[in-house]
Amino acid sequence: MTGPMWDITALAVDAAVAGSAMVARARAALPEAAVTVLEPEALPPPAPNGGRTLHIKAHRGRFLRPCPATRSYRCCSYQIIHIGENCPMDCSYCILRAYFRDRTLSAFANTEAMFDELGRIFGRDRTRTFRVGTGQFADSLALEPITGHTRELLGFLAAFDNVILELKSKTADLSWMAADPHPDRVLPAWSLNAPEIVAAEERDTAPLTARLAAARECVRAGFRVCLHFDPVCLFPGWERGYAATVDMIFDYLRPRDIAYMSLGSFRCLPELPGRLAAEGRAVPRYMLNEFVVGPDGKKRLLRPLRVRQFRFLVDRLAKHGFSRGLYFCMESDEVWREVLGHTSRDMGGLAPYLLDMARNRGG
Amino acid sequence: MQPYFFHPRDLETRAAHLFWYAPPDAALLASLEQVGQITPAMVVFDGDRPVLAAGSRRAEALGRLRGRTLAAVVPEAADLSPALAAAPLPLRLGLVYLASNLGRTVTDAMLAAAGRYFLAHGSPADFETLAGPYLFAPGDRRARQLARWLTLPPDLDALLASGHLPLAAAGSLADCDAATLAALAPLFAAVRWSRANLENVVSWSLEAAAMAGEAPVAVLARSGALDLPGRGLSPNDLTAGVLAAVRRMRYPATTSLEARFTVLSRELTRGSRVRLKPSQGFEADAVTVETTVRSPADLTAAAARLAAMAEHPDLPKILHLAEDDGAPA
Repeated sequence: MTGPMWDITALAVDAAVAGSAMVARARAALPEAAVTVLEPEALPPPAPNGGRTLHIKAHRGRFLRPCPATRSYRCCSYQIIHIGENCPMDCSYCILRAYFRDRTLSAFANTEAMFDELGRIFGRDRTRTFRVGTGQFADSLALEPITGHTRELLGFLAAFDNVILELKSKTADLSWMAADPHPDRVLPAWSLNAPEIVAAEERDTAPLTARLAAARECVRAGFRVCLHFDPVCLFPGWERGYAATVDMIFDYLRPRDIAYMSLGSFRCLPELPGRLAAEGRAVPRYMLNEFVVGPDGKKRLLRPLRVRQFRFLVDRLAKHGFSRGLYFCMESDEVWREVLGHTSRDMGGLAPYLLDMARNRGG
Repeated sequence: MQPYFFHPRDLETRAAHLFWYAPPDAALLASLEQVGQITPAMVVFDGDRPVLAAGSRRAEALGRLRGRTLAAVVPEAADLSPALAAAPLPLRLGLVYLASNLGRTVTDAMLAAAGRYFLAHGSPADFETLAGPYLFAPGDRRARQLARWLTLPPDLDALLASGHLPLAAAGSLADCDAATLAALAPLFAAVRWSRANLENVVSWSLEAAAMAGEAPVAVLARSGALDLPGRGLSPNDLTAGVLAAVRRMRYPATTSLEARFTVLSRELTRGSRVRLKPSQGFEADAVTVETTVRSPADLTAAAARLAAMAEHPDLPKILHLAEDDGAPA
């Protein structure tokens, strides 16, 4: 990022949401940005000065949807609140390259419609707890200083004590804390990786130390945090890199500060390396490995290689006293059993287990 | 154009610009003897010196026949487009030669020969803009392949001409450095490579080298693939052997699992028609069991065989084959 606002030099605003509070916040945050109000079906114009466009629009589909998981592997059953699409950061492994046709940043400003839908679902049975997040099709917090989306969402969710919101990010933005949410109902979360991967493959993201410092600040404010080692990448020296990151975690946090932590091996659609090459980027070394195409159609590291990396991470985390709340993102029962000695089913199912971890400080 | 008559032996028939030269065959010799020269050759003047621009086979054939002259036309500047008339003589000669061969089927080797000539006397842009229209239909992907091929050492052209290397693999070959190409040369010459097989050999070699942090030559040497051409193998066996050797370097863990699966599977199914297949990508602790039955008796026998397999000590091994044993990958 060359400036604090992701080089956004244009705001393209759908006419339907031109009068929304989000647009007003974005215009205030980006006073220099060229603003275009788009009629229906019109496309955003190119951003001036080689910058990028933020398209503020109305979302017409469902706002709450399940994670796009597959049946072949165990999913955590995270539910997504769809706040926007694409991310201003640039990670070589990012699945969003495959999900979306272009890389235009978009934020959904029709929050009244979103709150109507969420209110109906969350209010139907207040004894049912929901674990939801906004970090699937976008980084939860990357655009927060511009859109104020999360603060608005947290204000709405204050009335729902049966909803726990996970905010997953690679930034160190904590401006959402201004909404003063109840610490038991928000799980700030950060993606972590080996320092080599962060440096080479996660362009424009916050440094690991900044992410962990932000996590510590959240803990000091009474929150617990979540951490996600995803994607775990295989590259020469990976043991040293991941050990350094694990050790660094506990320079900032205590095991009890972490509600849960996921491990997910690098996986991608088979065409990802070709897409990177088409963008003129060198194919990263970690993509040069022994992959198989799994039953979900994605390339993933050959199982023994994945297991080896997972075992290493699990052992290293255990040495720091962290083992409860650890789970695999999209892995098979075989891998669960090999690494942890049990499957998610043995824990009563991954979704209930994580809900319990999210809800109860004692686990 | 002016008609001229030349003594064939006064004209050079194997000049560089006659890049598709081939000796006259018996049919042409017989035709010239019986019917005479029907189609004139083409000659241009370099100062006072006549230079054969097209018709090398006719010229050479007539040179072998006693007392025969070569009829040729000489294009004048007014006959040529301004761009062609202004081009240096070597380029002009090359283009006249291409024009005289228009309509002829152009093989990959002929493309390479033309490309080498034009690049020796002009830029890649000259070749593309001047000669390209004579060689390629619009959108012909061979144009792109030839551009890559022309970055390769010229001594590979002979292997293109002999059918050992396909032009379509030019992109892969162009990714290799000179040392790698030199190391691969004995393999190139040993088999007529398909594009897919050759691209696999090259890409696996380069990727294995990148993974190991070594030079591709070192990986190839370790693979054993370079030792195979001297073993008297059939072309198919040699191809399969080279592919297997290089694939082992690129996918050591995968090929190790495959090899162990093959051994265990053979042991488990010995003496039966049962076939075992691993799970997709060795992802699951499961195998697929296949057998064919043509009668109730076959099914009874197969069931007995499967029951015996269930008790076999190797069955758990094959079911849990992909479990990491901690051995180096």
